[in-house]
Amino acid sequence: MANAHPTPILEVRDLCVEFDTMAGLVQGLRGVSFSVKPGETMALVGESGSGKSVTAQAIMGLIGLPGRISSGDILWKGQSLLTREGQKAAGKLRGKSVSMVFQDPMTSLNPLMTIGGHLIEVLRRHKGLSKDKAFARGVELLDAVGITEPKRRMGQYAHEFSGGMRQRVMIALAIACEPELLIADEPTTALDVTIQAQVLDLLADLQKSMGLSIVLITHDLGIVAGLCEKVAVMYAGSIVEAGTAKTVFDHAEHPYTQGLIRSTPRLDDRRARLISIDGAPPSLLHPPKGCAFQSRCPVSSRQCDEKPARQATPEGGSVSCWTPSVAAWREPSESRTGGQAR
Amino acid sequence: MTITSTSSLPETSLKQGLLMSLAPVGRFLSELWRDKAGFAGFAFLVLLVLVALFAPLIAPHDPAAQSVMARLKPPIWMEGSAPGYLLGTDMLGRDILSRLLYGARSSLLVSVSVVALAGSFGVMAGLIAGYKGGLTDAVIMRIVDVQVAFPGLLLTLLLVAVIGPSTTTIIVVLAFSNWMIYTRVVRGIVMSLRQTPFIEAAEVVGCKSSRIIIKHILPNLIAPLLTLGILEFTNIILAEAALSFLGLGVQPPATSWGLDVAGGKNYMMIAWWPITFPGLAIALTVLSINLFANWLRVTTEPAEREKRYARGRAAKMRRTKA
Amino acid sequence: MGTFILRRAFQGLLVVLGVTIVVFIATRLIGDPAKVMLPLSATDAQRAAFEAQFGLDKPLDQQFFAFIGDLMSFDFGESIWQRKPALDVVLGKLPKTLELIGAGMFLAIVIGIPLGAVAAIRPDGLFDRLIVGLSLTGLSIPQFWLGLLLIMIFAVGLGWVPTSGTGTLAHLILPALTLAVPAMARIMMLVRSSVINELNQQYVRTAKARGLPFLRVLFQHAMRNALVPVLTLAGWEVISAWAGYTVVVETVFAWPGLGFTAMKAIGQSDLFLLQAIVFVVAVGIVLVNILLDVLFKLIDPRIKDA
Repeated sequence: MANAHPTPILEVRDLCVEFDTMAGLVQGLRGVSFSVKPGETMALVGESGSGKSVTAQAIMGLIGLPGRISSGDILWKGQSLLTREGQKAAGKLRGKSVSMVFQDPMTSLNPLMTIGGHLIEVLRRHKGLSKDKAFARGVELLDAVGITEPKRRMGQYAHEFSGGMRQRVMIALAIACEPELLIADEPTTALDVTIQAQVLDLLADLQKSMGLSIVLITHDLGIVAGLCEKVAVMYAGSIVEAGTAKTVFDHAEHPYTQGLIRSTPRLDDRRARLISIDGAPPSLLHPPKGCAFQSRCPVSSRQCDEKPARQATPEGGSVSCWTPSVAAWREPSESRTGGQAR
Repeated sequence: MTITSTSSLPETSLKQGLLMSLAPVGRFLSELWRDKAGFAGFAFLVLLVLVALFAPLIAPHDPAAQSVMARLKPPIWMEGSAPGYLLGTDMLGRDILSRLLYGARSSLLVSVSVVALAGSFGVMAGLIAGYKGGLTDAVIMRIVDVQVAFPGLLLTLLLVAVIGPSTTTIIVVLAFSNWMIYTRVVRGIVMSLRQTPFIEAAEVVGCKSSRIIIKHILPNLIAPLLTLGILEFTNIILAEAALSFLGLGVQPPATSWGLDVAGGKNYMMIAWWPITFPGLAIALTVLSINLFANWLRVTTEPAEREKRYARGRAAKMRRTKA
Repeated sequence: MGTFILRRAFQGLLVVLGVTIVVFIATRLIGDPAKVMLPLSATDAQRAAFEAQFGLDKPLDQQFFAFIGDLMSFDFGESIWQRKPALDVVLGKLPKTLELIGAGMFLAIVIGIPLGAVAAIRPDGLFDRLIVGLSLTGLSIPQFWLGLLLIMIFAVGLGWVPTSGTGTLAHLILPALTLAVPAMARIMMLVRSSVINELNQQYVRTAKARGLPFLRVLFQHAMRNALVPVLTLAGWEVISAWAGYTVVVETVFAWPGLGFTAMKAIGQSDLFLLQAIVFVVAVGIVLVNILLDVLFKLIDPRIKDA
């Protein structure tokens, strides 16, 4: 499964992103590091506002003013994308070697352009195909993502497609130029549950047949397990825990990860009751000096006033916590206010 | 003793009350100060209202006083000007500055009356249409649709020509042809509000419709109506000026900026000032309202404010980088 | 499409009927045609003769139906001032007004759209501020005054173009520009805000993420969507110019079109001619409206029969 190549295709190093808003400087990302190897699938998990999407946008070069990357680096096959030459190279990479599927398929397509128009546009741009060849390839792509009557569909507009179908079109657009890395930002959030499963299956199939690397961004732990080998958990703009999906699910180290897992309903485990993590994530306008999870953590202590360093775990992952692997959450039956206990 | 203590007590509370009521004004002004163009517009409007109110006290001459000796004298800084006529005189030797000051009265009187008249009728119709729905709504909105498609200015001309031009006529006629926009806006808001949970809840609980309208719907109408009313104000000022220019609006001996431009038109080959100053007065007034309305629209919408800030920061960051 | 046009035509019929009622009420109930059209010195006998000639002595309901009957047969009565059928006078002046509107709207669109779009690329940048300032000024200047200023500067001062009249392109340029300025200002503002808005849409982000160059995203994606509301506005501008705003410009430049004629008709107390102009313009508005609706259905695939 995990590729033997030692060099990652994508590496994110200590990335910081700031947004200048009326209220002040919001620190959207506060030192995010991870890497993706060829053919690898990784999930970025966290609640909304934790910086998952900002990470994706930074990689795709979509952070617009007044937001900016304040420090850190993004490397593609060892070459920085943020230097002057790197930015030029990045322009050619995006849409071709790295592509992205967005959360909301309803608004992601130009309403006045046919589906075929979208496909032909990318294929001509990145593959230099002629109009006829691009059309033929477009039909193949629609067929590949499971859209029936692809020839007729090419001439239709976005509003004539259902949500699930539109997301298939978005995936067809994303894989049109045979990318090496696909970033999927909450690709199933806006879809019905049955359609969600279909889209995830499609992504898994494509990953296998094309040897894609995938970064899946989601708040839903339930869809991670089936698709991803690696998991990185984000909280308040940084990664608090990372590792293989198996270790993170079975031996969660960070109290937040533990809470996240325990608050996700599971079909195979009926005994454990769901818990809820009380409180709200800290404001990124004035993020706390110490551990960002301190105010919501049931096992926090004085130590947590200082920022915990990232440390390796026995299972080969990493975690940022002063007291990793302590069982943080008691059974709700023992104490209803478990989340608030200090 | 008792007298002084009782009399000083209400005095201090009066002072406090005055300060309390001035606090929002201060907040408003400091907020406005951040947008220099909006502030300039607002300042000009305040000045204009004061000038219109106290025209008889400020005006150096009687606006209607003619003088054969002082015909078409240029403004004071030019050669051949006559002392005492700051902006010169028109073809009948009347003081242009004094006519400008009095002209502000016509402009403001007509536009305030029209906006009030058309606004209250239009808002009522919109409330009824949006709230009653069904046939009432269909009939009212059909009338609105039909009247919006009328040849507005031509019909106005016809009406004025038939009734006979006067200040009252143009107020009534302009109100008649400008009420529809309020109805459309109000009905739109009421319709969307009625579908919001808080109104539905109030209806389910059995609140009286009058109470729902006053307590729940009216507060949501204030901001959009304020912006709309102010923008309509500019339209009416321009319409009054145009009608008066065509000779179908304010009639002499009353003064109006549009009327003065029309009067100076035949002499523009030899004297630029009789048409330039009144026209400038109209343009500056409308520009001021537009600048102020622009600020108001952005300020009453938090999302707009955030966007404006973001754009400003982005522009600054781009400039410092370049 | 057929039923769609039919429905619009029915609405148009209502508009014309509405105008008829307003004109009837204005001319027969509020105003007194005899008083307006006859000289003040007219005797009672002259007055009675006038009323009998035009059926003004009959009961109001009969007058109303006679009025509608005349309109249905395109009989607007005789222009007292021109001494020929009012409709002939109107149709004779029509081309001049159409020429002015055509030239003015052409200028407004051709100048307004590109400038607004360029301003939107860098919102709050220097060029954007300049464009916003210009638009606000254009919106605030009264048209009649702008026309006079242009005459004063370019015709009287510099002598580049004639002060008034018609015939050559030089005659057309100042009236067309005067008519265009407010429309241009509104179009510029709308294009600007519409493009800014579209550039923030999700589909633009996805297009950027697909690695398309900025200019392609701007023209192929954002502009195409931004132009939908702009076309609505442009249509509205044509209608409102047609609905009377040429009166002011035509009067300033003595441009012999419908507006100038309307003012002449008022000066001559020629109510029948004025009525005829109002009706022809009302019918014109209805036709332009239908035309625009059809155009929109062709441009935007999302518009369904409504």
